[in-house]
Amino acid sequence: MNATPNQITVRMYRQGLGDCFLLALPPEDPEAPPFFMLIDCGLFYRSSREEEKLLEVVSDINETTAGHLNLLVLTHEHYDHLSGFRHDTTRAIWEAMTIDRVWAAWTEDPRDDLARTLRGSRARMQQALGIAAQRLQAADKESSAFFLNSLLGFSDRVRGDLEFALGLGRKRDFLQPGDGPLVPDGTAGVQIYTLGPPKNENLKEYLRRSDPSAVNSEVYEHQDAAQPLGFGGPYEELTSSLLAMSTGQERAELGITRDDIALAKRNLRDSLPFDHSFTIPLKEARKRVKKNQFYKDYYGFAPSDRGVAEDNWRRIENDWLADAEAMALQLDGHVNNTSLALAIEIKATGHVLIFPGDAQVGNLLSWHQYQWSSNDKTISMADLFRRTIFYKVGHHCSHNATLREKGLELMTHEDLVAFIPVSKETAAKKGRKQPDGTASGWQMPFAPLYQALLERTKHRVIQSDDGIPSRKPADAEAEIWKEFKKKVRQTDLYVEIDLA
Amino acid sequence: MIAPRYRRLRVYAFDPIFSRRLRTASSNVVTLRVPWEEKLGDGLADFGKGPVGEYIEVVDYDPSNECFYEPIDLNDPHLIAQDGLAPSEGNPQFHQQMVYAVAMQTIKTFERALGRRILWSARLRDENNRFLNKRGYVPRLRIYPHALREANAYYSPRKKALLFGYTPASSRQDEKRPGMIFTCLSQDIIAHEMTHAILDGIHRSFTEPSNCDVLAFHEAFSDCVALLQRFSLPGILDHEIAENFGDLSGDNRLAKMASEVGKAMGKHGALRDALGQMNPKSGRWEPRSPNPEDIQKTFHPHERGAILVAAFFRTFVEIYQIRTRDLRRIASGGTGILQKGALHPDLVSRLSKEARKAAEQLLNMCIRALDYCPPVDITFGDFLRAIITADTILVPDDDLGYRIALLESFEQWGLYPENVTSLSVESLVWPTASKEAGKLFQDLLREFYQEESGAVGGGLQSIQKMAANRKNVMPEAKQPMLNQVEKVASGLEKVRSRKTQQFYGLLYSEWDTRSDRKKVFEEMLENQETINSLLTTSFARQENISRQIREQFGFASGSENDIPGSIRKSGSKVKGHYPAIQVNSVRWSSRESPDGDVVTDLIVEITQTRMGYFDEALQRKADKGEPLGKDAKSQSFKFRGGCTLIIDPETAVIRYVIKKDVEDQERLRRQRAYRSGGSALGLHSTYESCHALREDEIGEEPFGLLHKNDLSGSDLYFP
Repeated sequence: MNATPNQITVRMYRQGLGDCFLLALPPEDPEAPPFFMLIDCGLFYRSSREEEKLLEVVSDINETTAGHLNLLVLTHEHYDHLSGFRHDTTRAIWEAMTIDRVWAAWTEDPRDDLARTLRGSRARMQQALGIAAQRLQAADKESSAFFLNSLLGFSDRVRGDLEFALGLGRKRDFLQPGDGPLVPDGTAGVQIYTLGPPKNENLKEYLRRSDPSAVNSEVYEHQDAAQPLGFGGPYEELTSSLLAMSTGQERAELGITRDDIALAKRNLRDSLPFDHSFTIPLKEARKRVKKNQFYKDYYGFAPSDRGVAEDNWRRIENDWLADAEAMALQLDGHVNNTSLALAIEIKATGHVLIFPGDAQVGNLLSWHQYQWSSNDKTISMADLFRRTIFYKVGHHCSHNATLREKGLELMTHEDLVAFIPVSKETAAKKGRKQPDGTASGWQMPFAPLYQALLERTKHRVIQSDDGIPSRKPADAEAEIWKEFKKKVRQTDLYVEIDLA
Repeated sequence: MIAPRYRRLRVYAFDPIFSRRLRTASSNVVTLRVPWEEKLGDGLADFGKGPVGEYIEVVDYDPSNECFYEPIDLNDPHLIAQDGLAPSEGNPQFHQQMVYAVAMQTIKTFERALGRRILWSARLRDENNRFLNKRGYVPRLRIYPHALREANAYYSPRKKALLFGYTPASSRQDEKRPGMIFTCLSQDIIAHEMTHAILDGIHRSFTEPSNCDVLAFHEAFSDCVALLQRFSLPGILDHEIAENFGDLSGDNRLAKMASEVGKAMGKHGALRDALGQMNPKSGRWEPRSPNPEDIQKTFHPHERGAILVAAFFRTFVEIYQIRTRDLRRIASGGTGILQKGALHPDLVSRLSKEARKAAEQLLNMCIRALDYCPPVDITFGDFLRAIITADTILVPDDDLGYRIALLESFEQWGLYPENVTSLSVESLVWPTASKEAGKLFQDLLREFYQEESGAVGGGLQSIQKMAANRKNVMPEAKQPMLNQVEKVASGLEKVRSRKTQQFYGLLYSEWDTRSDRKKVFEEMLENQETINSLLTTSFARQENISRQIREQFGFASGSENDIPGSIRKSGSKVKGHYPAIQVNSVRWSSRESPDGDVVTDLIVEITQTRMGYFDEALQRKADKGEPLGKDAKSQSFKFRGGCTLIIDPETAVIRYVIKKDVEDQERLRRQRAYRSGGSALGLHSTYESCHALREDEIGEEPFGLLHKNDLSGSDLYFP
């Protein structure tokens, strides 16, 4: 990989459903090797040959950079962005490398009070969801359990990996939105703008919004209610109930402390619906079966020797846990919204590359409230979009991570190309388990958005799993396609593009 | 001593919070009269604790607290003497009483309108999720008043149960107060959920989101029932109308009230902002004015449903206006313009009576229309046509202009049915079958009928003949033989008389509001089988008419070459494979018109399933009957079509054919686009990835997700 002045090379690794982008930026000293910047390194939880593939990727990074990474960017705390820092094999390589600087969002800053609170509440929800998933599994609610586990795959104990990666740099910075343009030491000819995650009085409003609003939808084709309530709030009950009823084993497995339990019980005490005199504990009701037909007839308590009772199918022990699905979605969206989103500008041409992490609607919308000044000029988000020639499609091209009017439709540059790190094969195995045992699948890439990308980029879209199309797409113009082909190349391990 | 007709039970009229406000405390309790239940019939235990009655069983288990709440005994003399427990948030037994009372009220509303008994949707799968051989009868809907720890409530088609939730009031942003919010203490939520359950009992396929209207219809219909049922209760409107001073336009006032109902339901139903909302600038409530473009860009089931609710509400207000025009003139010396100041109490009571009547009539119109809907894939336009058709049959002369009012309101909201030439009452009535097709059907029924009854009649005659001919037998020996013949004959007579009571080979016992529900259910199953075999054997054999059937009835039969191969087949190697036909429902519908006429229809719903494929090339292959690859199945969805036939039982003449053609390529294309998420129509999927939609598998709880207080990404997940 090389970088001449005024030129950037972007390498998208093809490990599967996960992000890993290596950028070669022009160095300050023209004689020196390029300035290497890595954005994320991960592969979705339990992908096939996970460790092996990641090892290949990390080894390649090590070789390409000759063991010297100038800047490591960690966008957010999700498995598919960080698992490259998980396994001992890869960790050994990272530790042997020289990493000058690590960037992460303010939400990961250990000294930031708000960030700490947010992380604490996320951790509790995470634990509670772990319990819910196990219970649903045990109760044969496979569909729900599968759904939860699919989602939990994003965040399976990733904090440790993030912390490991944060510790790799000789220096580390926690960026605030609106920062910049930044010129990292050792590079020349580029500057970087921090777009998100948002942090201001509207923070909660923004962080919460993982889905498009109901009216005048900002994204492609999906119109859904914004989440009216924040993390913690509406799911506090569910979280506390689950934590309070956890077993010793669950506590050990999920790292739930006594303090956590005490807090949960305290929260619950305020929310008992009725006075004790009205309640009949389950055990008591079972005992009454002999005298009192009611519980036997209407709640399926048959004497054990008679096997499964007639009315078993109508019992509701675990139905209330279905709310965990909504909670899991909210948690997931929230973490995505903590994504560190960056725009990299090539000074000579003014061209811009956008790396949004997995930012969702709230984060995306907030970008427009900032202005930057560079060379005495005021730069707005719309300016940056207009000059965008490279777009890393957020969140594996899902429906809620690319804005329409305030996003893609502003990217009007004729050279725009889009890269999608995705594995359709993996995505198809997620979602909800169906009666025939197959999964319903996640829609990645989301068809209407993908279509819009094709139009905007004149078919210059590359998906990491498919790689560069071997033949010109039917609708692409020959000349444009020919020029594009000159700039891109691929191996089994990555796709690369030169940008100027 | 004759049992009383009603049991009187107290419930909250509005949200419990109104009982803590001085102005509203006194009017917040209303006493409902629900049918007296005591002996529930053969094989059923008596009305008892729970309450457990004939239709409903209240089981108060709270899973998050792992406990039961003691079931109430409404037969306790102390409770009978005082119209049940007094409303109380803190007593779970009152909650049980309230859900029972409102649920029964809703059931009665439906039974009165339909003129027959309500059945719950049958059980299709067993414990282990395998299909049952025979549809299972579900005698009672189960109600769990405290099942969830969230401000949510839903009907579970799987469990045939309503699950209500509760949550601390403090968790809701707009409400800062201590205590709990119980969804089971809202009349409107209970009525809404009950309607989901009853609707599912009539139209199972309406939980299958095959177009963007289906779930929205479920929501909107449930809201309409909740709203109109509330307005038809005595005493609810008086207060509002009295406070209205001269302005009787009714529009704002009634809508505002309806909207308050919606607000109390939270984001639960479609109602919340359907009719208007508070203008934050002026601080005044403003009605939502009709905009025909809204329907083009609103696709979430709740918001889309809100448009239908708004259209109905407008109709209600119009009908109310029509009904009170004379009163207004009388009270104003003929000018129609009332003077300012308080209204005369008599006028208030007359006006509120008219409002009640208007609500009742519109509600009945809506409910009756359920029998005139297509069997699958309903749209708002279909429902409008169903109402118009049902009402035209029952009330041929539309003196008061109800149908026009309805039409006008739908037009204002841009709700047009498809494929109609003009928006007039005449063109909206469902079409009838062509003469030839109608006659074919009639002949088939007759032929079938004669075959069946002929066999019985013939048998009896020959036995009697035989006995009479044996003249040479000794008298002593003759008597026992004659006795024997008598016995056989009378047995056969019984069979025959049962048969002759039938209509063309179909069992026909009373379907009125006193009949045995289990018997009704079982006869319905039997009748379904009868018609099924009639169609699969007779129709299929008649190659010469299969084209006509295809065109007229919207399902394929026979073995013509151009029948799409993607239509599911049944049959055997020997007899040949024919497109499979399912008869989903055969029911009798009798209703009394305002003039006292009784109109009886036989309603037959026939459906057919065709495999739809997201990939059009795959679809073409499947339609040609070519073999598909292994993974084609995961690329498919079930596309349903068929028809509802409305038949005159006297003459076997088909009155109406309401079809959704299974061979309709355009409908298939739209459904494909809808199910695959983003279509040219801008529709969105409702439950996660739409590829997940399989029969009876729309997530585990379709309404559970739909009703979530915060509709987060929960119903759509693309991580």
